[in-house]
Amino acid sequence: MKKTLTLISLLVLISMFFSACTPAPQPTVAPQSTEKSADQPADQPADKPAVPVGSNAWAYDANQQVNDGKPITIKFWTWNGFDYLYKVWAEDYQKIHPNVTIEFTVIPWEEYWKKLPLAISSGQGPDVYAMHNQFTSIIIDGNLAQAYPDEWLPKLSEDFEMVDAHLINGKLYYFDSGVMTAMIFYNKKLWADAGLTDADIPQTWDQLTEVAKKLTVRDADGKIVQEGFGLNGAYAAYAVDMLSYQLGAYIYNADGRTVDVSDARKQALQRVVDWYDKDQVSSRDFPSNTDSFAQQKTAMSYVWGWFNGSLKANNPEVEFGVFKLPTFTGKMTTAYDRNNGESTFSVNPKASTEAQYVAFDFIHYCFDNEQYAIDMAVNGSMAPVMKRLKGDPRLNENLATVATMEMLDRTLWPGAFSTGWDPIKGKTIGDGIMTGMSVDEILLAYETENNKDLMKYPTVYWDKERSYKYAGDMQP
Amino acid sequence: MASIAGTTTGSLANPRNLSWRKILSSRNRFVMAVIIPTIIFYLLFAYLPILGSLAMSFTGVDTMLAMKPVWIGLQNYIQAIGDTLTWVSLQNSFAFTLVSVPLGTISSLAIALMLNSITRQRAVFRTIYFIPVVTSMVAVSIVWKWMYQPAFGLFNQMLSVVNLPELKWLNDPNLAMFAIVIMSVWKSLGFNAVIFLAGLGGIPKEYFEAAAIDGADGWKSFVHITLPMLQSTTAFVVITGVINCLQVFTQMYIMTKGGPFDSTRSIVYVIYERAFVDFMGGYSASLAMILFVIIMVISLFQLRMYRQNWEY
Repeated sequence: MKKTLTLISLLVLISMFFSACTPAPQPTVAPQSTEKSADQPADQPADKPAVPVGSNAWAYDANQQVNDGKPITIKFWTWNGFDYLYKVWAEDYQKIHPNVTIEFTVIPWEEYWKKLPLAISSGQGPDVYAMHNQFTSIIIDGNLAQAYPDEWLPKLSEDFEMVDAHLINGKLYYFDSGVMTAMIFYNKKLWADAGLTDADIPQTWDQLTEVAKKLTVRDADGKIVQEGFGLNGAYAAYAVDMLSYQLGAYIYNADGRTVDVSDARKQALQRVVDWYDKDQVSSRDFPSNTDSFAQQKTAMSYVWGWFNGSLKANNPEVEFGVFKLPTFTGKMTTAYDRNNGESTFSVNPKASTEAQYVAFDFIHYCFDNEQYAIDMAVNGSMAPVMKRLKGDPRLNENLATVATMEMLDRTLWPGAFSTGWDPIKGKTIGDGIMTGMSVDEILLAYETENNKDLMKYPTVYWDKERSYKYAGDMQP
Repeated sequence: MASIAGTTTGSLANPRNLSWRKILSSRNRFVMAVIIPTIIFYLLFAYLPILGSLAMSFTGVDTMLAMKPVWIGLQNYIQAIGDTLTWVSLQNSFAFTLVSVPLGTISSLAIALMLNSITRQRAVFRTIYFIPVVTSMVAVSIVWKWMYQPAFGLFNQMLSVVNLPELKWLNDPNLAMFAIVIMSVWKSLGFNAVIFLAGLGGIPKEYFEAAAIDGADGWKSFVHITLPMLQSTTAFVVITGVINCLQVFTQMYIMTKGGPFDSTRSIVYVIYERAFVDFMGGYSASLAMILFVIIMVISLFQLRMYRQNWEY
C-alpha cells in the first residue's frame, strides 16, 4: 500500500514538472466564413460572382484561385499590436479563398522577437509573420525572410510611398503599411485649468516653454506636482534626435559607423536639459511621460502617434488633443523629426513552396486593400503610404493621423536601427539627463558607446538619412 | 541518519557493498524505479542543456540564427574576459550578493527566533511571512518599482511625513542596487525564516535547560548553543543564498533595465542581452560558463569551510 501511494505521488510529481514547462504559443484557427451558399462547395469558385479588380498597378485579383483550389493551412504569427485588425483580414481572405486556413498565433511583443527568429531558424516557424523594421538586421542577416517577387517592385513603387527606401541589395522583404512620427499630446482639462485655449498652441519651442511654465504646478515646498512638459523615459533621448534634425543634423555620420556629436546635437541636448534645470517645466522625479500623462500629472508630452490609440483604449477619461511639433523659428526648413513605419508581413524562407505562394498572395490581398489601409492608419495614428489615399476624408477621424500627415513630408526615415541603438540611447542620453550629468559628459558617453556598438554589425541598415527628399537643407 | 538509512536502503548506503546483484534485488528495485525518472528528467532538462551550452560557447556568433556552428575555440572567452561590461556586471552581481546574503540571513534568523518564541498563532505569522515568497517576482518588482517612484512613490511619501529627505531610489546610480537588495531580501525573508525555524525545532530543549541551570543568559545560550546547532542550517541558507544572488536577473529587468549607467546590470542580465537581444549565442554561453565556474568554486569553498565545523 505504502509503495503504491509512493508510486502515485511520484507520477503526480513528474507530471507537475512537465506541466510547469512554458507551453508553446497556442495557435487559434481564424474562424471560417459562415456566409457560404448551401449548394456551393467551398473550393469551387467558378459559380462565385466575379470580384472587381482595381485599376491600380498592384491591384489584387480575388478571382484567381490559390494553391489550385486545394486545401492548405498556413501559419501566421503576430505580436499583440494590430492583431485585432489582422484577424479580420484573415477571416475575409478565407471567405474569398475557402480552401485556405490561416492558423493565427499572437505572442506578446517582448517574447515575439525572441521566439520568432529562433523558431524560423529551427524550422518551427510560421509561414508568414508580422514584421517590424527595427529587427531588420536580425531578420535579414539571419536569412529569416523571403524576398518579395521581383515583378512586384515597380508596381509597389507606383502605388506606395517609400518602397525604394526599404530595398536591401535590390530586394524587398517588407515595406511600410503606415508611417508614424512624434507629436505633442496635451491634456485639455489641465490646459483649460491654466486658462489656455487652442489659440495658445505653440508654433515655436520658446512658445511651448512659456505655455509649459503656465501649466507647471508646484506644492508648498516648491516641488513640481504637475509637469508642464514631460519627457521622462525614452523620450528625453528621442527629443535630442528630434531637435537635432530640426537644427539640420543627422543621427549618423555618412559612414554609418559613427554618430553625429556636432554643435547642433549639443545645442539640442542643452535645450532638453534646460527644460529640467533652467525652465523647470519637467521633473526628473516623475515616471515616464506616457505614464504621467495618462495619470494626468503631465500637461504636455512629446510622444509618438501610437499613444493616441493607447490613451483611447486604456485611459478614456483623459481628454486630450494633439498638435504638430513646434520648431525653433515657427517655420520648417529642415526636418521635423524622423518617421518610422509599421511594416507589411514577411514570409518564412523555410516554408514550403505552396505555403510561400499562399503567404505572398495573402500579403498582396491585405495591403492592396484601401479600407484596411485606412483602418491601420486610423487605429495606429499613422499616415497611410498608399498614394491613392492622400487627402481621403476618412483619415480625419484621428487627430494624430492628421498631425502626422501635416508633418510627414518634412520627416525622414533613417533606416532600420541596430538592436543596440535604443538601449545605448537610454543608457547614455537618457540616464545622463536623469542623473544631471553635464552635456559634454553625456555626449562623450553617447559617442563612445554607440561607435563601439556600430562596428559589430556586418551590414549597415541605418544609412537612409541622406536619401531624405530635403537633404539639401540638412548638414551634409 | 545512519540508522534510518539502515532500515530502508541498507546495502546501498555503504559503497563497498554495491554490486549489480544487490542493486537489482527486489528491495532496491523499487528505490531505483523511483529515482531513475528523476535522474532522466535532470539529464534531459538540466545536464544535457548545460553540455550543449558548453559546446555552444566554443562556437561563432551566428550560431543561434544560422544554426550552423562555427568553431572558434576560446575566442568567446577571451572576448568576454576583455569586455569591461563583463567585469562591471560581475562586480554588480557580487555587490548584490555580499549585501543580500548577510542581510537576508541575519534578518530571517531574527524572524525565525521570534516565531520560535511564540506558541500561539505561530502558523498564522509563518504564513504572513511566507506570502511574499510565493508571490511572483515579476509582480513584486512592478509594485516595488512604483513604491520607489521618487515623485509619487510610497517610500518618499513616508520619508516626507517624518521630515526626512526624499531619495531618488532607482534613479540614483549609487542607490538603485541597494533599493533592489531591500526588495529582494524582503521577498526571500519568509523562505529562509521557515528553514531556520525547522532548524531551531531540531535543537534539543535539554541543552537550553542545562545552560540555564549553569547560569547562562539568553545571549550566551544563543551564542554557544543556538548558533552552533544551526550551523548546517545556516550553511544551507548561505550557500543557496549565494547561488541565487549571483544569478539575480528578474528584479533588474523589471525595475531598472540594468541602469542607471549599468549600476544594476548583473551578469545574468548581460547573458540575457547577448543571447536574446544581440543573438550572440556562443558569446552568451561563454559568459554563462564563466558564471557557472565562479558559482561552483564559491559553493565548494563554502561547503568545505562549513563542513570542517560540523562535528561537535
